Amino acid sequence: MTEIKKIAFILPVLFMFGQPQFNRFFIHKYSTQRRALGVYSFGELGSTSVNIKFLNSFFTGQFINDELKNSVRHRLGDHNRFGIDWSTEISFLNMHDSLLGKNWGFYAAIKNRVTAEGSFSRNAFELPFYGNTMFAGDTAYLSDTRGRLFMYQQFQLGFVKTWTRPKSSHVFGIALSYLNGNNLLEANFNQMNVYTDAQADYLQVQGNGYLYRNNPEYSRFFTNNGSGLSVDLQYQAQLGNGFISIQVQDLGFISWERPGDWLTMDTTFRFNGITINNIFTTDGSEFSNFLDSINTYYIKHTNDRPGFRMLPSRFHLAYTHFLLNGKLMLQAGVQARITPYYFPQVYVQGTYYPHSRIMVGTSIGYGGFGTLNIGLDAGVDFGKGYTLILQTRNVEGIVPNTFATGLSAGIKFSRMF
Amino acid sequence: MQKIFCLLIMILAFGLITSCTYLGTSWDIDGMGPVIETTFDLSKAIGDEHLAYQPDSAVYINFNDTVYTIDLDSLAAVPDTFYLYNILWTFPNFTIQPGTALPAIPIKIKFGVSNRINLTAARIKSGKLRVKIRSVIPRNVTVQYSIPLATLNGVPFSLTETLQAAAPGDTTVFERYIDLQNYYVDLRGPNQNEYNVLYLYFSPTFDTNGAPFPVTTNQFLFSAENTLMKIKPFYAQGYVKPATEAINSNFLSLGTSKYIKGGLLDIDSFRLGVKFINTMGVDMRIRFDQIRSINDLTGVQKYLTHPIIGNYINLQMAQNLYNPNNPVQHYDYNLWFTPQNSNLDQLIENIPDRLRMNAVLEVNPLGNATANNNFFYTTRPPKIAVTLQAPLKFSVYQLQFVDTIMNPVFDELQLDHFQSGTFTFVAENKFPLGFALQLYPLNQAGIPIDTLLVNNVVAPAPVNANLRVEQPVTSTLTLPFDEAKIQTIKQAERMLLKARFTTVPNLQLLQMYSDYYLRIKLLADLKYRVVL
Repeated sequence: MTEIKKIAFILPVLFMFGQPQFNRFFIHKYSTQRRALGVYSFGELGSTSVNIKFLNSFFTGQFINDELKNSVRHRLGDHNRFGIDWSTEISFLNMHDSLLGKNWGFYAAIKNRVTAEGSFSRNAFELPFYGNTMFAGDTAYLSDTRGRLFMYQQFQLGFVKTWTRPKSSHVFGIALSYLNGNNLLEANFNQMNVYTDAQADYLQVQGNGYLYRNNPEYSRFFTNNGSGLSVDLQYQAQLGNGFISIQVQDLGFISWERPGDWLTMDTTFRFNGITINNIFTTDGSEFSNFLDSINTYYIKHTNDRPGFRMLPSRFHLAYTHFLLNGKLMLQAGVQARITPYYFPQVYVQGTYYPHSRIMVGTSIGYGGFGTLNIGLDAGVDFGKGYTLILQTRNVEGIVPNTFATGLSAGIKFSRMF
Repeated sequence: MQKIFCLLIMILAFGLITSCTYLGTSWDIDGMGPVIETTFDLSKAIGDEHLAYQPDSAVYINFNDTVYTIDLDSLAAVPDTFYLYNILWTFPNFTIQPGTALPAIPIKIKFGVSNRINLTAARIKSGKLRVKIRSVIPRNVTVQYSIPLATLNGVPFSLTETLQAAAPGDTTVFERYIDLQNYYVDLRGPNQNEYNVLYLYFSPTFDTNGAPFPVTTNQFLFSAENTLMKIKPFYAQGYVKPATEAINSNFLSLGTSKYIKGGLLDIDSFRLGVKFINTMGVDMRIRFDQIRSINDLTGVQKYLTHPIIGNYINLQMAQNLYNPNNPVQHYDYNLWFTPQNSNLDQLIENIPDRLRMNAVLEVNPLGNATANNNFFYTTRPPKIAVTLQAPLKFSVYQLQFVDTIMNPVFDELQLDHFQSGTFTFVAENKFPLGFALQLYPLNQAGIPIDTLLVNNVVAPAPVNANLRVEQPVTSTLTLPFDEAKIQTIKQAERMLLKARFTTVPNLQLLQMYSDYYLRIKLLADLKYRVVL
């Protein structure tokens, strides 16, 4: 029971404003520390259909053969998701601040956030990777293919309140963030169909969509294309050896104020080949003229501000139970995001301490950007409050293969004192 | 332990950064679609300016060319010329009182030096007269500089300038550029009995407020520099001296044998017009010694036979209308050679690269019969123009067209991405003319190293009972390729194009109509390697 009390005490220090399933720590060693300084980076990518071997080949400059393409194709549904999340942060939490009073603490962090997410149709994969011959006499439907990318920095300040009842303890935290938006890319094709004549006599494109890119001069790290605010909320309760955690993250927006480039298309276009007016006198300028005419007549180029964009807010519910005097931690949870590109993810995980300086953990989940994911964690205590944790939620994708559709890796280096 | 940890982190980060790149990522796609389309009709092949159309849309060709033009700019040339005139006191010693006006001093300059014409008058299109006067007189002197026989809208040219008193041993200078554009200059001198001369007058007047100025005989007073600069007349009048011009000119240089290497050509009635346009106020006569067609490939030359060959034709002088908008009523002499009045058909069926004319043109053979009233406008030179007219009605049989063309995709790196496939040329032909086409990549020595087209025949469109095509015929030409053939195409800087044309029905003269066309569409069906 002594260990459980220590756990209850340390919870607010280490569970606040992070994703609960990633919060590993060395309970036995650092249960009474009231301050934590951490550097943390975690990135993940996932898809419902594109496997890791394909992504590995794509992003390492390799040749993608038909077998590899087919391994993706046989998983394609009518609507397919993909997503990338990468968060890097440095944070400090102090639960022993004399100004705030007893049982109050504060939290400060600077984070760099990158989120890319989208969905695509079956044909949207097939057309670029197989070509249009397979659509001879048929239409490739690329509709409802869309995606977006955010990159911003988050300057976060939060406050934590704990209170204890005879049979329970509670923690509530709130954090406000100023967001410095750098990069916003959007692609949205509500309708996009490409018909290939059976004799290849013509191609017909019917499209309605846009591409947006904000001002590249202000899209680099720490430059400003827009600003926003967000709030994180978290409540935790402990009753005996069980803890429940409810968390809302990234509830906010960025107002992208600086104008960027819009390429808008809403047309039907039939391509019969580039017309050479006079084969005897041509100088080849018809090819460049053709590209110019596409820009002039079919693609509208404007420069405007995109305005407000909501962040893909995250909602997380988790239950954690400690066994073996805290040496074994079991957790189950579900998280969802306000975005159509993310399927609610459910997971269970366990953490065990075989040695006072060694931590191992594993997890299994389903959902998110991808589908099935199996996690593996390992931690080392260097002593004097220094700990290092390495983690992945997709051990199945560490070695490129055609089964796994997710890849993730994280590293957390912290000191508790 | 911490050092090992840091090292591991650095290795991991370096590995992640350097291993993530999509540059070089590649995959193969099977693509198909149209590439280019072009429509070929007679206006594009021959040029609309060379065509005429009948109400029934029958097409006539109408080639115009200029054989010879008399270069009037050189005939009326006025070279840039510099004249220095020193003005001395030629009288006995004398004291010039203030306010004295000296007599006008005439300065004569030569205007035009062509030995082919005695100019009596001209109107200037452009050019300037530079006047620079130096004075050594230590008194203020007002100078009037005038050209009475150079008038603009009837007003003679004149300017007045004051030269400041020169310091002892020094000079004072004034310089002026006089624009002579549109001036009419009478070049006959004050007594109207000279030519090619222009008189300027220099009139100095001593300032009334100055001191008397003693001069001695032969004392230098002034120098006057007069420079004619880039004078170009647009009208000249005078006596054009008799001259004989030898005309040896090619015309209608079509370079046919460069492309047509053999076969039979039969063309329906045509005619060759020769027109001499005399825009000069000068009598002339011309003698056509030879008109021939030359096939440079075979070396065959066919000479025109016609009664006019070897005989003089008199060309009357033009009339001067003195109207700026229509200044001259030119005299035209027209001559038509036809298969009926000459052997022109032999010249044409020789499939000539060019025609050549040898003639003698005599200018003003009767001498100065107009009493110096010959004239010409330099913007309207006399010329010999030719016209070849014919209905575009012909028959060809196995007419072989050969040309070497630059390979438009020579060394094109994109070709490296082509794995295999077929380019298909879909030809919709409304000409009653079929042809077999072949393309040969050439090596550096100009030797064909491959043939590209497998199916290579474009069928002729059938004619109805009136020998007119109603519906086009579609043919398909294919160019299959693999990686080896693509490299052959890529490495050939030039290609040989061969085509053999035959009209159907054979040996039947067929009229071409403006609605005939050949539409070619290039389609691709290929395996292409996408490389990022």
